[in-house]
Amino acid sequence: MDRVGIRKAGNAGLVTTTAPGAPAPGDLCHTMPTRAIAGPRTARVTKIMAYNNTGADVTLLFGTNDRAVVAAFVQLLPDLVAINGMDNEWPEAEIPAVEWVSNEGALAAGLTGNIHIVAGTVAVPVAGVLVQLEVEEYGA
Amino acid sequence: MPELSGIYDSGPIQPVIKIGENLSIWTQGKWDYYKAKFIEPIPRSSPMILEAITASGAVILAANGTITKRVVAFLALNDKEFLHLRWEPLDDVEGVLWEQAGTGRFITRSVQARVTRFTAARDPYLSSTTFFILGMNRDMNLEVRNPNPVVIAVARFVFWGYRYLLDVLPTTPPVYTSIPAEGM
Repeated sequence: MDRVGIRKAGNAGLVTTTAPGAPAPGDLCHTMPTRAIAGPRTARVTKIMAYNNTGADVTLLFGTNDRAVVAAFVQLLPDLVAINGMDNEWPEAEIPAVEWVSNEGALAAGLTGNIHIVAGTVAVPVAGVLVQLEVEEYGA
Repeated sequence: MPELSGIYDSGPIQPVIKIGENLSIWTQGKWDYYKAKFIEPIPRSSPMILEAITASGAVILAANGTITKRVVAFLALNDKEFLHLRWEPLDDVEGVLWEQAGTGRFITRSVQARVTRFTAARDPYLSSTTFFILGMNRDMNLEVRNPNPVVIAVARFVFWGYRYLLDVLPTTPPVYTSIPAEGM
């Protein structure tokens, strides 16, 4: 029997990417309950919408923060290309079922369960891409 | 003789007895006996929604925050009334049920289970959320927890079921259905 989750919008809301200094932690799109509070949860990204009006096509990298190195971005989905001047959409069928896992104890803030985005590259992030996620959380 | 009530059967909520039948109800450490003289449904509808943040006098529920247990005012009863309810949160919050403020429901020796947005995933009729309230000043108290590490603005819970009007029976009737309206 397949698992049934609850569908949510990324709880960081509509995110505008920023260009922080390297190593880029990425911009937070969604964060999950921690094991201590609600038991461990996992989440899959079920939809991505992005609007890119930066003047050039931009790659979007979705991932999380490294469990041991705070603010080190770890990419979990393949690169997506947000075409300039377009509303770019990736529905569930086009996104691999990568599961982000809520904090298992290393970081009190549950950073390993956070879904982050980096636009451009980790070395040279691009600011100004609008991104909204839809996720499905699994837990109890 | 107590009858098997099937009060937690995994189907849609139904009255546990018919009008004119007898109940044995557990509250305040003892069983009391009643006859149902009237039963009416309480449909799942907007007046039966509690918005727990506003009800607590707050405007937000903090990240990983708790609203301490408090009486749900619209579920308060007069004496000789009896509520048979199921419930669920409409937002990603968790409900902890107390019957009278000091007695936890849905407990084992070491933990108290909660009703969450996930409860209906494998229990679509929410039968495992069934609980009962008997009469005045034996209210249910609801504690609300935000499992999310972000602030939330809405924490809604909806309740539905049946209201029974009861006559007190002075002696133990020969046939009755036993109902826990409080923890043990």
